[in-house]
Amino acid sequence: MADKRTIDVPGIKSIGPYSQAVRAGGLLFVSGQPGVDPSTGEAAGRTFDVQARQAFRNLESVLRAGGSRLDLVVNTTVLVTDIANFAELNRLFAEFFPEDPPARMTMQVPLPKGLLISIGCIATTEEISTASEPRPGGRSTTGAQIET
Amino acid sequence: MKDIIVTEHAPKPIGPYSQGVRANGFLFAAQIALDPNTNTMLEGDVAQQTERVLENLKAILTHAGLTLSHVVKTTVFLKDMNDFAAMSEVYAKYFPVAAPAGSSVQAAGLPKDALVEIEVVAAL
Repeated sequence: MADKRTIDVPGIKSIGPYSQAVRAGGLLFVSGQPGVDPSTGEAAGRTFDVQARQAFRNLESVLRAGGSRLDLVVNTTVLVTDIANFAELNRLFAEFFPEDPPARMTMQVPLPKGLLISIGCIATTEEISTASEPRPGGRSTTGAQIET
Repeated sequence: MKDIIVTEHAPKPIGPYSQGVRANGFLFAAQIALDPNTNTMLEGDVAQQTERVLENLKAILTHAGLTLSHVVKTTVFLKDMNDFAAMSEVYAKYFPVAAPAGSSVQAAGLPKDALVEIEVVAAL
């Protein structure tokens, strides 16, 4: 098969049967990273700002482990429990993605364990792939999730 | 360029979408627990529906010459996040090694009142 490779990140545990990240075809697919303190596995704090900053730090750790960086992120999926935090989310996005920010989809959803945010992404990787030029295409079903 | 995957071994689309689309070395697909023989929803709990969904996805991948081991990313939409453990138990059997990156969310609603919908990205 292709060059699929799973990425383990020391210190960050999965809460289900999934990998923290998978590399394939010159892209890195990163699972949703909640605002969890990696040392305790619990929510990093009670406020959106604290949890969101931790989620970005966790995302950055996974990206680095997979041979990528925040500035190589092309698409993000952001889950929040309260869309009222949208403005704060935008401020943090601008802080962590100061230039050429990635595409983004944001959904308001219930999250477990007092979590307020989770961020997943697709990024290009630093190695030049010999595979065809990868580009995630769209698909659509009649899903009824809330999009903003 | 993109290729549309069409197979009689997976449910017919119930809306204006394709069973699968292949582009630039990746395959994109999503399924709910429709019975491919009758194209009606499987009556069953979340474990049974998860099994049907993954069998449907397997059929689409097989038609494209792939297997579930090629899947690099999944997004699981659940009607009820309390079903996460029951879904995960079945899901884990289909991805015993090198599990894909994943996210699970509770959706406000799913087509056909499904309990679970799974979207996958596979790398050729």
